[in-house]
Amino acid sequence: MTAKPLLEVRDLRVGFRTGGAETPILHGLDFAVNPGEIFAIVGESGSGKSVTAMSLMGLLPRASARIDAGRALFEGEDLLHLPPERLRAIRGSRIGMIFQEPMTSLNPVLSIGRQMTEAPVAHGRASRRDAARLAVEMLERVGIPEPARRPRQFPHEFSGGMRQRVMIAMAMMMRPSLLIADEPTTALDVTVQAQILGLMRDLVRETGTSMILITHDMGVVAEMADRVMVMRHGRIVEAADTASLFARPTQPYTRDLLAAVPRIDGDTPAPGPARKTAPPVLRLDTITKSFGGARPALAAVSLQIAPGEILGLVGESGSGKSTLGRAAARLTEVDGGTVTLEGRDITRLRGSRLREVRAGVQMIFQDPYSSLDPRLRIGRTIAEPLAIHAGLRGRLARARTGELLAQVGLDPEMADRFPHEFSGGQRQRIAIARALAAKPRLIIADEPTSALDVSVQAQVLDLLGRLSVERELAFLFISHDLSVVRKMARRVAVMRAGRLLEIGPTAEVLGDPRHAYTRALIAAAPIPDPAQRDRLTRAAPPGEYPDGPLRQVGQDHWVAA
Amino acid sequence: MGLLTIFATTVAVTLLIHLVPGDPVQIMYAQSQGTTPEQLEAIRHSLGLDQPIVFQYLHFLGRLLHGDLGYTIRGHQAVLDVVLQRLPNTIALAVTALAIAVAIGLPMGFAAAYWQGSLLDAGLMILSIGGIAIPSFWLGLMLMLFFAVDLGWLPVSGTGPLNILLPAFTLGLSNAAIVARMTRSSMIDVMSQDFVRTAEAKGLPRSTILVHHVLRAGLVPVVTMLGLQFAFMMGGAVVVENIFAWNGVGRMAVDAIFQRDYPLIQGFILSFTVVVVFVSILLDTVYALIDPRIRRS
Amino acid sequence: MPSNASPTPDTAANSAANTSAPVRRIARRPFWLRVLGTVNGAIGGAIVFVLILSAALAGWIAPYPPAKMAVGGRFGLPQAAHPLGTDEFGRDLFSRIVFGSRLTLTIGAIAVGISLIAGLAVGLTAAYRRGWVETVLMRSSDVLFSFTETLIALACVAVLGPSLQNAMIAVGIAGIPFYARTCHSAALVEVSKPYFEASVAAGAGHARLVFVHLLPNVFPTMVVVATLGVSSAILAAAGLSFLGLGAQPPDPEWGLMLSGAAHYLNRAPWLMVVPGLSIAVTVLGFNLLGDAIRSAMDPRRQG
Repeated sequence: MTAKPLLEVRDLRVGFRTGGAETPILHGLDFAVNPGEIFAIVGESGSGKSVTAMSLMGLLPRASARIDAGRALFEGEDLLHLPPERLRAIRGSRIGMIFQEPMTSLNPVLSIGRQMTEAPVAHGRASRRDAARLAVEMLERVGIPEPARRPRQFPHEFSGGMRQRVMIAMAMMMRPSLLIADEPTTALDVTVQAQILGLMRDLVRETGTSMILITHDMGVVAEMADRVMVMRHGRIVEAADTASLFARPTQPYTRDLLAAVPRIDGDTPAPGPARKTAPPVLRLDTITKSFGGARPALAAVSLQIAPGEILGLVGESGSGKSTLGRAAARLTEVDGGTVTLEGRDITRLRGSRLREVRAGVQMIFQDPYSSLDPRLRIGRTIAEPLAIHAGLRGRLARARTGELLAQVGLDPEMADRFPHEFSGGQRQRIAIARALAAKPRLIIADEPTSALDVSVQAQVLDLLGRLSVERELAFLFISHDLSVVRKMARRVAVMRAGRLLEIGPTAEVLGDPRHAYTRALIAAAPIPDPAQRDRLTRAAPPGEYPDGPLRQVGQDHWVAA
Repeated sequence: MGLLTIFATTVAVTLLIHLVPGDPVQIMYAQSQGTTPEQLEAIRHSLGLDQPIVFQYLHFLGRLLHGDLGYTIRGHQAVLDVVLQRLPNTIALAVTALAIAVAIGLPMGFAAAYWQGSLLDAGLMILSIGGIAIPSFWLGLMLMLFFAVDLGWLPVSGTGPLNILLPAFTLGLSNAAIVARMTRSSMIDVMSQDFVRTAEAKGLPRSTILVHHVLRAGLVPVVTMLGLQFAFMMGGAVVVENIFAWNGVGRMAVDAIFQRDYPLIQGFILSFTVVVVFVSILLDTVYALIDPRIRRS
Repeated sequence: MPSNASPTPDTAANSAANTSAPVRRIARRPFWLRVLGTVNGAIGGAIVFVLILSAALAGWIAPYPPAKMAVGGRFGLPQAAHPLGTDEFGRDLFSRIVFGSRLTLTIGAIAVGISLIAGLAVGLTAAYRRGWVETVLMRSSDVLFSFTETLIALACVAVLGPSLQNAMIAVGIAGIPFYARTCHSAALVEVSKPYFEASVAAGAGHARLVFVHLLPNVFPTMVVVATLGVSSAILAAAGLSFLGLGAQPPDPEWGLMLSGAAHYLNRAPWLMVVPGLSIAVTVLGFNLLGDAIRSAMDPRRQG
């Protein structure tokens, strides 16, 4: 593009003070954003992508952060060296911003209308009355039903997706020439994400607003961006237009990053040896569970897992997938139905009998930071199941702990360290080692890689897949991410609102989905391939789906009618 | 919750007399010379202590519903009358003290949070940590020494409109320090919330952000705290009333404990609880006005 | 806040995103150095240290027995033989203050001991057992808590009768609801964490769950509560003694000494200064120390 850029950043350097020393976070960034384009900044955690946005807005934490050098020319003014009052006049009116957490980004004690109108009024752009009228128009534009009565409502009366729409409406109130969106859809379910992304793209196109989109998700980049800048450790790895970056990445880091992203149109694991005859390691029969809400968390869910099989379980938030996993491990008591582990009904077991059978099924959790007792050396954490079930202590336990650490790819010498000395990926490996220590036949993995960077995720997924094959270990692999499930599981189950909607071989369910909800999930999943970008469905999915009893539509393939 | 508390109190005060090691009737009358065993037996009967405890409790409840709390051991007055005569004094003291504590503590805490990390913040917090450490009875005596004895501006003790100032300031100053600390931490907590960053990103002036967003949201926990503070004031009144000879239920309670006047002690505990529960119900209504999440549900 | 049902998948991704870079092995300063290295910690630690010293060595430090009358004249002003003067019975004030520190520390330790042990037992049991046990225990704590500590302490004294020992017990009992609530909420956080559930899933028994996982992770919170609690226990007990409901003459208890001095407000106002100041400084010391421990434990401030 030859037009003068809207925003031109030169040699941006930012440091954070921790204790006495200053750690550089951004090491001199140069980039430009052109009028009307969507410019994505993508990177893993610690890349400095959010810090970049915050420094442009003057929103860095005052106490600890310092801009050491650089210029950021925006419509002729240097954002980094403006007096605070001038910068404040630009914020909100000429640069709008949308944040990641819709649940906490709105003030809970002020009405939506109040929060939407206060900025135009404060900037002297509109009278209170005009701003109120504009607010209703904007709410309608972002697709909120009954916009006229919404301004009187409070944030807690809106769902997460609706709140993010309100945030977008609020940011666009004054038609800013630049919109900065920091992980705007990361906290949202995938079907909601698709709608919000579509909305943002339409809005900026319609108004000619430029957008800086900050994200960790290559799929989102491919769906949205005109140009991409890849960041790592506070430096630019490479920047290019989206199509050529995905087609011909020049840097090895970009190539690795793209290769690590699981794809919903990718490969499924090759079919293993048929084990039809073996009795299932886990059988759930018409499990029901209610937490006292209007609808049950689980409504008569049945499924089984064969020895050594990985069953993927996908669903959005509130689908009951985690509750199902916990019920299978007897961490949540069920209201009805039976849990059968290796042919033994464990639904009503208590006390020491229950503790004995617990060794057979272990769990891996999502959050690597709270998965390990912070006060125990990791060797002791891993040895806990050994002490409980095998009575192993002392040197024997130590030797076995070392073996387990080696199996998950860690140095056995690390057994004497505390959890805070490890990274997220390493902690997740430790949690896997602990699960293996009990010699289970089944592991319930509840979003085991959702908190990890994509490159770390790929390694952990490989480890889990390898363990499953080597030890004939079965997995219930719970995830919100169809692409990850596709990579891991030969069979997949889809849940929504406490009910099982579709279950069958992964290739078949994802290749030829028979349930409307499965189709909606697949359609909403972003694909890291700019060539397929207009595939995303924008239409709000129906609120109701068929959720009756399952009927068979193919070999091992069942769908709710 | 309020009803549960009052119910628990009625049970507790019935049991109270039975928890006393030894014979309560003998202890009660130990100080009056020459009470014969027959008289003691009659008293036991009149207090209902010779009946099964469940019956005693039901009897107690029955009388309570008719506003009958029994008679004091010393002077044989109706307990309800004695309590009601003094309760307004204690409430007046607690309310004045709470007003003082809030009037001083709230702005202090807000200012400290606003200029967080500044010298003013450090100074205010040193002041408040010192304020918390000073015992109210000592502060009371010092204030009395200074304003009443040395300067002669205020009456030393007694009950009256001008007399309330010293005890109320004693109680208020002690608690202002706590209010200041709680306000500060609540405000600082709110300032680090995402929605404040949203307000900054909208380009609102700092004063608007602080008054409309931070103060409004930060008040929610502060109001919750006020109910607790009022209860503290009622408790603190026990000590302060005794220093300044303020004729409230706290002073009455200490005398009653000395004299082992159990019906009067029962009356004190019941009236205290009823007032505290009533105030917390009142504050729940205020709370609902500030916090829309509660208002609508 | 504990969340039930299924969590939103990506919220943890958000919180973890900032920190999943490899963590270097940091040689951290020992905990006590971090506490005493702060201004608050240093001052608080020094005050508490002096108190303990004075309590332990009272017999050597104090020039006279605390209750011995007429060692000097009545209402003597401070002088070389009596650095803080003498009281209405001609007792040496300095000796009484020194011996008083022994009583004060004993009161603090015993009262907090009662509150802490009972509070831990109630809080841990409630959080671990859940169900009706939790409902009953925590509802009772809530009710007792709304009675306020003063009322509970007064009721206890009313039942047990006024004495120093009973005052300690009363203050200790009065503190239980607060300790139980704090312990309960801290324990609830731990119980809902994955590491605890992983241990349940591994088949750990009650003893292991409570004593290996729960107690050590709740304990730091309770240490802070207990340290700060020493100050409020000392204040409360001194208040009872001041009212005549705690320590009885001739005990050199600071609150009791104040109430004695109050009778001679006109004649010897200086008698009030030292006991009051002693209480204030002691309370300040434990508060500062508690604050310092809390900041040293706060993960946000750890370097």
